[in-house]
Amino acid sequence: MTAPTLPPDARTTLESEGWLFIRQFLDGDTVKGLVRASEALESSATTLVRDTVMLGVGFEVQSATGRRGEPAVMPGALRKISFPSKGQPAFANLRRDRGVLSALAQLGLDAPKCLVDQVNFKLPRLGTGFPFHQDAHFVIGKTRGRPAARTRADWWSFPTIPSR
Amino acid sequence: MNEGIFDETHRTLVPMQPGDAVLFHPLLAHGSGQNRSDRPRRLVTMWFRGGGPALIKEPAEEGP
Repeated sequence: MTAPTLPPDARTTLESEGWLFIRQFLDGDTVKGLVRASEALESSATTLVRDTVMLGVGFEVQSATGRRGEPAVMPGALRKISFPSKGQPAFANLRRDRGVLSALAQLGLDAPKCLVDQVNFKLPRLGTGFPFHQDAHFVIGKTRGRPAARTRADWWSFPTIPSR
Repeated sequence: MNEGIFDETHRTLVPMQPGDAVLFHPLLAHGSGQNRSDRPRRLVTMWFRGGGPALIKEPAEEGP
C-alpha cells in the first residue's frame, strides 16, 4: 500500500492533542482484503461458546455482559480476534505495510514496530461498550529490568474500520 | 465503571468510514459504546512502538 497522505499539521496535532483522525488511511483494496480475511477467521468460529485459541489466533466471545470469561450470548458471537495475523496473511501484511510504517514514521514514531493486532467486533444490538480507559500497561512495561521511560513517547496505536 | 476518573470535557465522537483511522497515544483516555444499530461493526486495532530498547515481554492486548 502506498503511504497515506497526511495533513500538513498532522504531527503537530497528534503531539498536542494526543490523537489524530486520518480519512482513508487504508485504501479500498486493503480494506476489502482485511474484511475477507476477518470473515475467513469468523467462519472458523461459528460454533464457539467460550474463549478459544486456535493455531495462535485468539477468539474472545461476546457475552451478555461484555465481561471476559463468560459464555457467548449465542454460538459464534465474537467480541474480539487477537493476532489475526497468525492466521491470515492480510493482517500479517498490514503489520509490516510500508505505507503504514512510513506514515507512522512521519508522525514521529521512529522505526515503528507492531506489537499487537486484533479485530474488535460490535455485533448488531449485542455489541457491548468499553468503558473509558488508558492502555497504561503499554508504557509501564520494563526494558531489561528498567522502566521503559525512553519509549513512553513512542507508543502509538491506531484502530481503523474495515467494515463494509 | 470508570465514571469520573477522566476529564471528559474534550470528549469527542469520531464518525468513521471504512479505511479511516484514529491514531492515539495509549495514555489518551478512550472507550466505546454499545452497538444499538442493526449493522455489525468491525475495528482493527494495532499497537505500535518506536525504536529503542527491546522489551522483554510484549504487553497483553486490551480492548479498543
